[in-house]
Amino acid sequence: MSGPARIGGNDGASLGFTFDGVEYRARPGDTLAAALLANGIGRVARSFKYHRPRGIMAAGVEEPNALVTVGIGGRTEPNTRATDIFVYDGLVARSQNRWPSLAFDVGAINGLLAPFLAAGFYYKTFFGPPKRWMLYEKFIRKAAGLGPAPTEADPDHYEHRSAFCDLLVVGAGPAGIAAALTCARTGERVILVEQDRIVGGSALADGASPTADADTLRKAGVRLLTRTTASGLWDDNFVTLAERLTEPGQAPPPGHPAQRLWQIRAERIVLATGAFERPLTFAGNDRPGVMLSQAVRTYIHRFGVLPGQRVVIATNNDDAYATADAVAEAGGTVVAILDERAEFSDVAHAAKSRFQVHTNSLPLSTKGDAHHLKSVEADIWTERVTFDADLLAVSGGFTPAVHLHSQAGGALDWRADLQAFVPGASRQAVVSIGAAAGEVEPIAPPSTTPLAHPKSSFIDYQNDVTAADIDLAWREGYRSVEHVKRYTTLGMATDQGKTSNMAALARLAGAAGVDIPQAGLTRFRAPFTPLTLGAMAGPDAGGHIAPSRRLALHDRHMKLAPLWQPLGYWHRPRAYPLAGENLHQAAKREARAVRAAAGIVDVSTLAKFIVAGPDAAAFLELICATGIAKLAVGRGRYTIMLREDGMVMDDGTVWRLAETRYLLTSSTGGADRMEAHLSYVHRVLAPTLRVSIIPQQEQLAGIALAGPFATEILTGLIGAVPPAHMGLTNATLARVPVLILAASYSGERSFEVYAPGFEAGPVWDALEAAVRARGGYPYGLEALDSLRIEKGHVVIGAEAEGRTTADDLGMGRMQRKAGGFVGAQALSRPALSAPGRMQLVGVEAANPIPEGAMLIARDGAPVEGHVTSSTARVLGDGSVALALLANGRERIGETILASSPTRGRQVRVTITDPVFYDPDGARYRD
Amino acid sequence: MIDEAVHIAVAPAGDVVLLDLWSGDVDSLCGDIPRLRVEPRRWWLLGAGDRLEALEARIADHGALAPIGGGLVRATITGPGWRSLLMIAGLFDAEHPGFTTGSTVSTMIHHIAVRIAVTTPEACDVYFTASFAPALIEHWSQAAGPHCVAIEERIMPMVAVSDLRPIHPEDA
Repeated sequence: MSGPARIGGNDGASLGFTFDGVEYRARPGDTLAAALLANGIGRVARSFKYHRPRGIMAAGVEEPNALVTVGIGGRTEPNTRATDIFVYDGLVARSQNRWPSLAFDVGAINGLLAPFLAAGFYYKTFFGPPKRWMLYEKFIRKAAGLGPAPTEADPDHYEHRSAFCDLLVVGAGPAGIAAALTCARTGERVILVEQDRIVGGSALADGASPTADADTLRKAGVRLLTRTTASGLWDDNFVTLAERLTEPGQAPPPGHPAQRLWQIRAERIVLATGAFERPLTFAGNDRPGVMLSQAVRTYIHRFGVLPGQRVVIATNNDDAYATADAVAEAGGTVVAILDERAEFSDVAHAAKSRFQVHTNSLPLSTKGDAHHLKSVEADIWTERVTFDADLLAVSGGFTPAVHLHSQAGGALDWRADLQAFVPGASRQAVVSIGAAAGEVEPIAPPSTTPLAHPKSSFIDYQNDVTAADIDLAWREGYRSVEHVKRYTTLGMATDQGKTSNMAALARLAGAAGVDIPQAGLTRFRAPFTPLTLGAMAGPDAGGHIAPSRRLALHDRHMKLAPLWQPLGYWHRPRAYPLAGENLHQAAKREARAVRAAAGIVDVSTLAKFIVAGPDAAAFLELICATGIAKLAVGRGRYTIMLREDGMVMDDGTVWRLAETRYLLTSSTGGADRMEAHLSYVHRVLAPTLRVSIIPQQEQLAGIALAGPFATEILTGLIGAVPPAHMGLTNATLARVPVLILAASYSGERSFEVYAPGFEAGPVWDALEAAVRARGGYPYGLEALDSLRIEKGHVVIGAEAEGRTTADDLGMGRMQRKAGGFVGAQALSRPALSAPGRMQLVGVEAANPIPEGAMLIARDGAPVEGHVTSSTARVLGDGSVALALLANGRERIGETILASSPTRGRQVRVTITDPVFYDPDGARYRD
Repeated sequence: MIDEAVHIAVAPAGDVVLLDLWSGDVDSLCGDIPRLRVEPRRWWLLGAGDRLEALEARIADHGALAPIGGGLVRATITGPGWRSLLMIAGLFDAEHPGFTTGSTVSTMIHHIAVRIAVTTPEACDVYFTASFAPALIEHWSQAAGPHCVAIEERIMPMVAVSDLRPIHPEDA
């Protein structure tokens, strides 16, 4: 028998799985890679660019070749390393990047086209006429990528969870276990993270038992997280961990998350992340049957799988001799050990009695078919020798896993004896130990023998980057390692150069004639090991992309089956269509009812603040640009608030409830911003004022009653005459204590009725019944917008869009001339009164005016302004809109073009005053 | 998801009155009224609605009061899993051994501002604005999974004190 096989037969293989539709069996604890090898499958993938047959090279997350797609439907996960998924019953795995099959892949023709697909070929397609790119694009887009992303929604949920600890240990190998146990036994809170399913790390490769098992660790007080990868180390010892609670493609138990993203804040961090074994560079080093030496040991000792029967071992260090022993003990034949070193080490010397050991020897090339390795050609001193073999185990030394140390801002030091970087000085409370700190086998000095076949000697297996590609990039002038990376795609994608970085740097340094440290090193960006988008998104997906806020009157609205409008986190009724009505018809009916009879609208989301204390008036005079101090108790007024740069930040009303107590309202969308602003002004600009600012947004639910029958309706409900315009009163409505503010946004006689949020329902019910009895309706945001546009009332965000002053909006005279309010000083800047400023105007036309349309004199003329809000007239025909127009107030009466290229519409409009309806305000005064 | 059971009861927070003090001592001014300290000079007085006028007289120029219970919800979480539950999509170290009975914290859970008060070793109260209640309850339901013994939601009309008192005649 040749090729990989389970040692002693595949007994105990109780799990069923499929690969490319064929059923196989696996033992519990097998990775997919181990199970495939146990079933004699050597070729499992096709390479990215040349579609070369690829096998399994590693036994951990560093695997560059064996990428597969697992799962079905929405649980499909492409580009999963076969070495990083544990088989479960029913696992469905498929090879990828091949068509029509793994065995016969049309894309393999790319291998013949390799001379045209060298490094940077993609960028070179940009040269020449654009039409040529249009031709290439189709093919490149089709060829790009590996496994296709799923098209169905992921049915699982993902969790984000925080944890704090005194010590976080990353890596549960011998060093990590020792560190975790030591600290846990002193009573510290310790979290130990291991990306494998079991603890032990490198000990597992050698068949040794871990120094402590999971039970021991947990009994000592260690919080042990297995199948968990530290995906990033950020500032202030903040670490993100991706925990796989189920395997890729596997359905979690009902109600359980599939994965969890931990956000860890640790006092100290120990990195025991181990080291990656490096391959050697020679022709055909990517062929199925070429495997990392430690991986071979891992498959033998941990999984009981012998990856080949006739094994050649090529190494530059002593570690690979343990692999020779493992192969022999497992019943395989060690054909030869090719040791790059010129002298026998003690280990090599001892091995001579058991194996054929050759010093000063290098693999030169391999031969084989699409499935298996058949022979290895080597240079031994001056002789060229060919060995029949079905497995070549290679060890090119070890690269400490320094990515987390580097992400934490730590320096890297060069170790020539390892030909690798090791952790240097740390900027955070981060310490590396064990193999991650450089405690690995030293290697022979790098070979000076030129590569015989650089075009087929792969450095980055996953991205099909050969030694010749690195050479080409250098010849074409790429000097920075970061540029070489991008030009060649070296170290990209899920691989991130785990096995290729050092070989590439060595090649680049060789071309430059410098040492590797001088060649530079690419940044270790997170995530070094892939994590799913689901884990990153966590619960914030689909309908949970942001928290949703429910109105206090939500249930009342639901009974009316409204069309809902998302507004920030809120969802508010946009309109309440009657049977057969569309949005436009419903909004028109509702708005007309307000003009002709009455209507009610939920205004609960308005920002509201109690401002109380002996210095409340002084504080409000800082906040508001309008006069406050002279406001009588029981009265209110419209007000505007400026940013420190003088631009309008928000608007609202201010009401004097008592001598030293005010109610300030402002816009819904700006509620959080206003709360922060009030806090800033109090704590930073006026910390000595004795004033309390208490948010009331949800304490008080609000209902606006508007229309010519509003006074009559309210009188009937509260048993008293309601206040005059801009007056206030307290009353009882539907047995609920309410605050009534007489303010109008619609242009009609209106009252805002406020009740405690939990008590507002009966108030709504009573108002709705009374309004309907007078021929009115509840109305939504669409009608509200039409009414306010007709009245010329601005909205924060549309008209007051962050670049407008009060004067731009026609409210300059409302500001206190004496100043003394936030933003006042900035108003004296000449630019704010210079000609050409955008000013609020009205715009009217017979046809609908596209919102957002630019205002231009004619086609192709410069843009002079834009339409900010638009609506059909509520009662009459035609459309009206508000707009910001350069020197707008001087241009009333002009005709101009409102052009909306995105909507493909142009309308000739007339510039008017912004108040289209009841300019004298007679409608809202009794 | 958590590993231990929790029971969550959600209800209007009741007569919660916010107190800001710029002078004076809260103990002498508020006596034995149950309260949470939510900022250095800000307290929530729990169940103080019926004493609002008396309180106002005592507070006088030392500070200001305002009811906030009309839009405030309290979730009482009991059971051994309550600390773990608060760590899911949370930011605060609810598992810290020093976070014990009597401790309070202002933090975020699932992007929602909350105030947590530890009431016993096996329970805490979490306060948050009512509009977020559905989102937070759904989050907890999912986070607790099968370990959620029950979620009782009693957000219904209630009698809360309000700021809607008659204007003082001398102010009018």
